[in-house]
Amino acid sequence: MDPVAPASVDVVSRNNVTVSGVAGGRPIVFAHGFGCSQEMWRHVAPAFESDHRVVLFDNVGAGRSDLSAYRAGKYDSLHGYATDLLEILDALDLRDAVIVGHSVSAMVAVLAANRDASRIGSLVLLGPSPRYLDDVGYTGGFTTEAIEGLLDQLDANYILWSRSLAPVIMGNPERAELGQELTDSFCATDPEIARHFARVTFLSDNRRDLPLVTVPTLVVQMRDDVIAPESVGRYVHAAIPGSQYVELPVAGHVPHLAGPEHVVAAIRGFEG
Amino acid sequence: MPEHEDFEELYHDAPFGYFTTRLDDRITRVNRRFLEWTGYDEADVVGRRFIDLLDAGTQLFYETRQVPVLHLEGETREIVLGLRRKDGAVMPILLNSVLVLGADGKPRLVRSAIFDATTRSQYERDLVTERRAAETAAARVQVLQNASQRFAESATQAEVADALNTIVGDALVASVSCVATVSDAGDLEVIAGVNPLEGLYDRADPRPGPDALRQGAPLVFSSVDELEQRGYPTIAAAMRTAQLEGLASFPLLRDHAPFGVVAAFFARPRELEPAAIELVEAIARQAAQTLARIRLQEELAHLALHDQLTGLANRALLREHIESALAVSARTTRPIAMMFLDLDGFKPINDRLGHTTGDDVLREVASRLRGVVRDSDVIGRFGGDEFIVLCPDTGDEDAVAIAERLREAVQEPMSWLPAGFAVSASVGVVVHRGASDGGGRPTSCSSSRMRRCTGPRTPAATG
Repeated sequence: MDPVAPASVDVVSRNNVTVSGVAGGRPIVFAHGFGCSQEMWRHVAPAFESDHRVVLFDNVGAGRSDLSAYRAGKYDSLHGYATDLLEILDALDLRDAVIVGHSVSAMVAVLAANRDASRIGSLVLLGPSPRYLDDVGYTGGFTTEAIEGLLDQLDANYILWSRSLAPVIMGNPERAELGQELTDSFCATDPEIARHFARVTFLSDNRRDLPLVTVPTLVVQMRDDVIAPESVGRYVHAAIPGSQYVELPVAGHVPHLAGPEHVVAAIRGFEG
Repeated sequence: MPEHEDFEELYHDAPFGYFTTRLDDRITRVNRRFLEWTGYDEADVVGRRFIDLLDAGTQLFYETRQVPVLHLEGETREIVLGLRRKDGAVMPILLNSVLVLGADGKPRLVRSAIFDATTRSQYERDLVTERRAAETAAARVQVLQNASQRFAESATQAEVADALNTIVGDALVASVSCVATVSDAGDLEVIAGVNPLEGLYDRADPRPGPDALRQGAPLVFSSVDELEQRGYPTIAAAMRTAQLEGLASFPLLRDHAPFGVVAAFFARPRELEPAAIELVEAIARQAAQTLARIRLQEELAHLALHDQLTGLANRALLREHIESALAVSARTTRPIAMMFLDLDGFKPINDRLGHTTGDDVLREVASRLRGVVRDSDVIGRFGGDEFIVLCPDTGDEDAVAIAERLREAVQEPMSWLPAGFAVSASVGVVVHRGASDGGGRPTSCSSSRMRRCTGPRTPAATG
């Protein structure tokens, strides 16, 4: 729906795209979810650098993306983010790419693949949920009140963030340098954009888009994930024709940090 | 012997809740203060995941923000969360956590402290609520002020429509928006923005736009399902094709009469707050007033330059056209042709059948003349039964052909006139040849060559 960005838009700097690994290797693109940035992949992405062209990026509004590129109308739905993902694939001229999307970006990857799968080889959906709100005949896990609660929570925490800009002091003096870097980049996000992104993320409904997926897809489910519970993962698996389903022995919604080796193994296993 | 404090006692009676979790978030130890504040027994919480003790909104925040930052930075401080106590009440807490690494440098467990933030949290929540309410109100006033200014600066209907489209799209954070007005054919025609559903429905289908126009009230649909349920199945299907979810259509009212709509489309299900709807209604009112003002100005300008009976250019407008055509001709050396028409047989009709019939004849003649010239040609009514046709970029041969067409068009019978009454036209032609003519005035045959005059009478201009 959004027009393709004119050639003058520098997609690479807009989304802070970073490329590593083998130039001729199969492209693998990691898309981070709500709340953080491409830093989320720091324990997973390096495992693919030996034989893949590894692409990381920040969603506009997160990490070191170009905040001036944020247009509320464009990013009022996941389609805007899908447009950006397709533009990144285009800008880097990637073919047969594996798109690994976490959380909300799993749905962004689905929308992108449904719109134009010409550069996409397969999808890995990490903790996907097509709809977080409960609905008739569907358990997403959350009520509207819970989502409003999250928005309040964001507000409450941004008050703290905005007034405590002191550098993070790490317990370990040797890691002081690391601490400095973290302050600058980790999960940096503009409060207003985060608020809007939270709404877009948690109030979207992409259930109808799942049956339209035509590329090979792996659904990765975590244990005890309150954000994307097992019933939702199974729903996604059942709705995407021919998809594979794997459950990781990792608890919570962020396995790429809590059990990165399992995430790597799942992707490798899927690639065959 | 120095006063000795038992470490266990220090741990349990610390002025904060203290607990340890494994990497999977399961609680392995808690101090007494934690249990005292939350009302749980040790057996209730040990083995449980900490996230399960949080209220739902907080869970989302905990997983999407707290956990990633803890893993990436090794530490988090003063995270505001809501802890659900055993009695069901939610206690606001501040959470500090550190990631403890094992000998291999890998994360081993997490130690966390919680502080009761009830007082502070309430204060901060009030602060946030108030600030947000103030910001929202201020933002709305700002939107209205910007709208006023942009409308005031607009000089044409197109400019107002463009401004309205942008302002409403921004105010509602719409993915797409457009402004449409009722066309001469009676249907809505987009004059600013884009209709994302164009070509995806039939104009005969039930549509929210015309319905909002008819009802004179906004129609808002938060989802495609709602569109379907409220009687717009084909629009719902079109929305699905266009990957849109929500739709809001606002009528533009002038003196309480709707004359157009502004529509916003959303790419996800959206509930519009009443305040947002009121804001757009206020903007739409301003736009309608501006459009009314501009239309009045345009009508006045039109009246001043056109013959009211036939709608043709009057003397003043003709003079403007002639002067500008002469200027162009002087620059380009392209010829201009002018035809002078004088009606024959009109006077008896006017005298004997009455002015009303005479007026009908003049209107019919004007309409026929329009039918045989190009849109770029100008037709004016010069006097009672005299007309002038100005044809830019027209040479001798074409001019003669056009003159003949004009004469024939007038001469066609008017069936509704009683027997014995008929009009025809004498047509004189002047072709002005740009700079080569020395800039002579075409209304005088002495400086421009009269090529040929058709019809039974010689026009006065040749005399």
